[in-house]
Amino acid sequence: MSDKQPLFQSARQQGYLLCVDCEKLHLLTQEGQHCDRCGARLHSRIPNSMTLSWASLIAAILLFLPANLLPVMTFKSFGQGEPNTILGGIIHLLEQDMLLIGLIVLIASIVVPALKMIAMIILLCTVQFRLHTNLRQKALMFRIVEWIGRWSMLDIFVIGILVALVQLGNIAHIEGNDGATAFAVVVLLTMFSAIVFDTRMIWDSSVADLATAKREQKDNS
Amino acid sequence: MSTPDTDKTTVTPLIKRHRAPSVIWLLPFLAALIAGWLVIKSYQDAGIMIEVQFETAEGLEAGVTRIMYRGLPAGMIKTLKLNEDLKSVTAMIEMEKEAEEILVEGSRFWLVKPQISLSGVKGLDTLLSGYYIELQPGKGKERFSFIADNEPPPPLKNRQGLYLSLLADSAQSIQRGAKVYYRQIEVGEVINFGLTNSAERIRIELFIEPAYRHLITDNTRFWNASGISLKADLSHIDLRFGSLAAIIAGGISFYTPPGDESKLTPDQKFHLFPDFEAAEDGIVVNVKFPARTSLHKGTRVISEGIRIGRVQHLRLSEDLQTLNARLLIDPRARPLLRAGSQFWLPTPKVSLNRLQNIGDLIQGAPIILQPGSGEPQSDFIALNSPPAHRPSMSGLNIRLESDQLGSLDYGSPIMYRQIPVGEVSGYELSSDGHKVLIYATIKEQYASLIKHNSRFWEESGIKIKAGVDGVELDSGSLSSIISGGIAFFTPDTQDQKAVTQEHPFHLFRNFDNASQQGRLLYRENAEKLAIRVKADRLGSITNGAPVLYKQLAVGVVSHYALSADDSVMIHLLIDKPYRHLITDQSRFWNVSGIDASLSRQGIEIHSESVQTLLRGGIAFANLNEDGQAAKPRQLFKLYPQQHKALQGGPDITVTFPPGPDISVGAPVYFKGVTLGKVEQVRLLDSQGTAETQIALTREGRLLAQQGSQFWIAAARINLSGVDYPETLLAGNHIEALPGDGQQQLRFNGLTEAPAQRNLAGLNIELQTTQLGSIDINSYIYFRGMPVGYVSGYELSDDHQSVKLFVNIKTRYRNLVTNASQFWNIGGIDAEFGIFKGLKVETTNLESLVQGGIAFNTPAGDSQPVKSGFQFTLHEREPEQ
Repeated sequence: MSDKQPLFQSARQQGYLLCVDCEKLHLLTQEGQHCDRCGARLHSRIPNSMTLSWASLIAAILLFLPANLLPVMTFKSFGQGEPNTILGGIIHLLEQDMLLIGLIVLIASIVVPALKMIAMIILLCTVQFRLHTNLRQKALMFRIVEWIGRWSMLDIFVIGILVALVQLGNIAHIEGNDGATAFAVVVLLTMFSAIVFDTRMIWDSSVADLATAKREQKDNS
Repeated sequence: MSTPDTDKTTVTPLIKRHRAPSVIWLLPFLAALIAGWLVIKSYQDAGIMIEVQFETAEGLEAGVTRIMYRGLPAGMIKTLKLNEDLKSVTAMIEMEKEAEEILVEGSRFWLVKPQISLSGVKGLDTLLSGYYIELQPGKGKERFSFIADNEPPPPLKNRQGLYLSLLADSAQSIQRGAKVYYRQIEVGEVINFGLTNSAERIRIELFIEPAYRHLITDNTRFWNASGISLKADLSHIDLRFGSLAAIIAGGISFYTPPGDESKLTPDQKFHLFPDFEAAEDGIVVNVKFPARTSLHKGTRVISEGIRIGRVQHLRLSEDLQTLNARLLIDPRARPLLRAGSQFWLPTPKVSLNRLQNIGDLIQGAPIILQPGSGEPQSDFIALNSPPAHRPSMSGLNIRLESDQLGSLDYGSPIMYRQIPVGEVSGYELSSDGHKVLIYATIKEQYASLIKHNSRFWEESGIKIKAGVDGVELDSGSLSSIISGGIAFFTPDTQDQKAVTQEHPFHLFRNFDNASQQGRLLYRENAEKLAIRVKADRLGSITNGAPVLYKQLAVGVVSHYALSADDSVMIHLLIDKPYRHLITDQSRFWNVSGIDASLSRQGIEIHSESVQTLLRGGIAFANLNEDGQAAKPRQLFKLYPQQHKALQGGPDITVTFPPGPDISVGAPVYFKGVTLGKVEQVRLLDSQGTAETQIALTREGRLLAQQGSQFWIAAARINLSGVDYPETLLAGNHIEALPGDGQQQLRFNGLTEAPAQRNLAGLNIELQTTQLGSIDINSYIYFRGMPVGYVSGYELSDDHQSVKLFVNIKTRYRNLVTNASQFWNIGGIDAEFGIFKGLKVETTNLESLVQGGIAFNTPAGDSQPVKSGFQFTLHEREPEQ
C-alpha cells in the first residue's frame, strides 16, 4: 500500500504555506501572520482542526440519537394526529407505497448523515492514528460526503416549509418538534466537522513518514 | 516547536500553548447531556405492559391502535397474538406510565368503532384515526391482564349532572345514547339499560345534564317518546311523535306537573310509561268490576265530568267472576282516591239526549269515580250500579218523592221554563219501598228559583197507552222527548221561603197535578188568560207550542194532560193583549204537522209555519165577532183540522143501505150547495151497509133535523139522459133533503132519491095498475110538448096500484084541471087485425124509449087542481 504512494514533499516540508483564500504562496515562517495580498490569516494547517472536528462530530453523533428518537413534526388533521419521528415518517411513506419519496427521505435524513458521520470518523481516525492506507479513497470519500452532506438539511427545510404553509386550523396543521431541532443541529455539526477538517492532514503523517523513511534511506545509504 | 529564546536580538513573541481542553468539547458534552437526558426520559417513560384479551383482533393493529382514556392517548398495542384456545386474541399493550393508577381490577377496555346512527354519530374520530381502545378505570387492586368488553360499558356516573333510574316494562326502541327530551329539548341521555335483578322489569339509567336537573321532581313522569304512536277511534285520531331523532332512535320524554314544589328525593325510582297517554295519568289503581262489564282498554275514568284517567289493563280473575281493571289516574287526582271512593260504570244506553255525545256511544261510557273521604287507598271494588245519590255538581241538592221513577235517569235534566237548571243525580227506593226518592242537584246560580212551595212534575217524553184497541204510542214532538225530565215551577204565592237542603218535594205526574189544574201558575202567567182545549189526541203539540190567531202567535201551550174522559186536555195561555180574542165563538184547531188529504177532489196539502211543523201549534178563529169574552179556564174543543173547526155544523151519522158506493170526502149537496162532507165511512155488514160520518157546515145544520133524507147520488145513464153526470168525474156524492123536525144526529139513508112531493109547480098523483115503461123523469106531454115529468112513483098502500108522482111546471099548472085525462103514451102501440091491417101508433121517439104520459084537458069550465090531486092514468088515449 504505502509503496504505491507517490513520493512527494508537502509545501510545509518545503517551508512554504499557501494562503487559503487567495492561494498566494508564503513562507512557512509567515504562519500566524496575515496574507500579504488578501489579508487572510496565514496558517499551513487549520488550527485545532482535529479538536474542533472531533468535538463537533461527537456532538453530532450524540444528537443523532434524539434527532431520530424524538418526533420531528406533528401533523394534525381534525384534531387527530400524532408526532412523527423521522423513521416513523419514512416507514409510513414506505407503507403508503411511496417508495421513491421514502427512499429519498431515508437517504437524505438517515443514510447520508450516518454515512457522513462514519466517514468523518474514518478520516479523523486516519489522521489521529496516522494510518496510511487508502488515502486517496479517503480523500474522495470526504469530497462526496462534503458535497452530499448539505442535502441532509432537506428534511429541515421541508419541515420548515410545511409548518409555515400548513396552518389550516382544525382541518390540518403541522408543527415542528424537538427532533427537528436536534436533526438540524446534527446536520450543522457534521457540516462544521467537515469544514474544520483539514484534508491536508491526511497526508501530513504519511509525508512525514516518507521523509523520515527517505532520511533513513539516505542515512542508510 | 518554537522555543523562547530571550538571548536573541529579534524579539519573538512568547507563544504559550494552551494545554487545557478546548472549549469546543463543551459541545459534545452538551450533546451527551441531551442524549443522556433522552435516555433517562425514555426509560422513565417506558410504559407498563398489560395484556388485554379480545374476542377478535378485528380493528386492532399492533403499533397503531391506541388506548384512549378520556380522549388522551394512554397506550398503544405493541403486539397481537392468537391465544392457544384459538378463540380469542391477546393484545400486549404498552400503557403510559401515568396510566398505572387506572390499571386496576374493574377497569374495562373496549374497542371504539365508528357508530353512525340516527341518534348521532359516535366515534367519528375513529374514521380518521382508526379504531382505538377506550379505557374506563375501575377500583381495586393493581392488575395487568384484562378481558375486553364487547360493547361499551355504561359511562361512569362521575359527571356533573343527575343520574336517574327508570323502571319500564319494555325497553321498546330505547337505546343507549337515546336522548331524553323535555319539551322536545335534549336534556340528557340514556346511559344504560338492562334487566332489573329480578328480571321482571327493565331498568333504564338516565343522565340529565346539570343545567336541567331542576326539571326533575318526584312527580315527574317519563314516557317513551320513541317511534310514532297512532291511536285512532271514531271520536278522534291521535297521532303523536317526538322529534325525528326520537322517532327512529328512540327517546324518552318527561313532564313535570307545573307548580310542583316537591324536590327530588335521592334514589327515587321513576316509572317509564309506554306512551304519553300513559304518562299523563300516573297513579295505578286497581278496581274490581263484575265480569261482563263492558270495559275495554282505554275506557276513560271521569270524576265530576273531568277526565282523570283511563283503563290501562284488564284482567279477568281466575274464577271468571271479577274483572280486574288497572286504572291510571292522573296524579293530580290523587286526593280523590280514598277509602269510600266509588267507581261504577253506568249502563250504556241509547237515548235521545245521549245522542248529543256520539263519542260516548262509540267509546262506551266512561267509568265514573265519586271521591270518598277516607284514607288514601288504591284498591277498590266497583259498584254494580250507580250509587243512589251522587252529587254530580255543586249546587242545591233537593230530594223528590215519587210513586214511580218514570223515565227519569241519572242526568235527566231539571227544567225551569224549558231551560235545564239542574239534573237528576240519583235515585233509590225509600226504605219502606213505597216511594222512589229522586235526588237532584240544581245549579248554584239557579238555586234561588227553588222555593219551599216549588212544584215538580215529570216531563217525560213518550207516553204509551195500552188499551183494548191496541197499543197507542203517543209521543210529543221530538224536542219533548229530548228534553224530558223534571220540570218545576214556583207558584206565585206570598209566603215564599228559601228551601233548606234535602227538603222533600213531591214529584207530580204532570203539570196539571203539579199546578193543581193550573190554579197555581208562574207569577207572570197570572195575567194571561188560561183556557183549556180538549182534543181527542195531542198530535205533535208540545209545551210551549204557539197558539196562533191569523198566523200570529198570541199565546202558548202551557201544558197538557190526559183528562178523565180519555181525551187530552191542553192548557193554553193567551197573552194579555190578546185575551179579548178568545170568545165563546172561538174555534180551535190543531195546526201541527202537515195536513194532507187525498180525495177525488184532488190532493190538498196544508201546513202552517215551519215552527208549528216542528213544535206543533194550535190556531183559532172566531166564527163571528159578537161572542162573549171567554172566562178563564173555559173549555173549548180542539178540532183536528181547520175546516172542521170552522164548519159550524154538527156531525151526523147516516147509515146507507147497500147501494152505490160512497167515499170519504164526498160532499153532501142540497140543491147544489155543499152542506157537509163525509168524514168517515164504515162498513157495517157484508151486504155493504155503510155508516158515514158527515161533518156538516154551518148551513148544514138544516140537515141535522128530523125528517132529513139522504141518498147517494150515483151517475146513472138511461135513455132519457144521464143522472148526476158530475158524479162520473167527482165520484158519488150524497144528496140530502132537509127535514124540519127536532135535531137529530143519526139518520138512515135512502137507496135512491125519494119521490119528491113538494117540488115547485104542480104536484099531482096518477094512479095506474101497471108502471109500464114509465120511469122517473118520464115526461108529461101536453099536445106533444113536455110540460112536466114523473118525479117518482111508489106502490099504493094496498099494493093494488102504482102511484106516480108527477110534477107539472109552474107555468103549465093551469093546464091541469079536474077534467084532465092522462094516458100512457110509452112504448109502441101496435094493433093487428086481419081486416084492419097493421096499425102502429107512437108519439115520439123519446117517449117511445123513456115512456111518457100525455094528458088532455077538455075545454070547459073545469077547475085547475091543486097539488096532491089524484088522477087515473089510462092505458091509452080515451075516446073522446
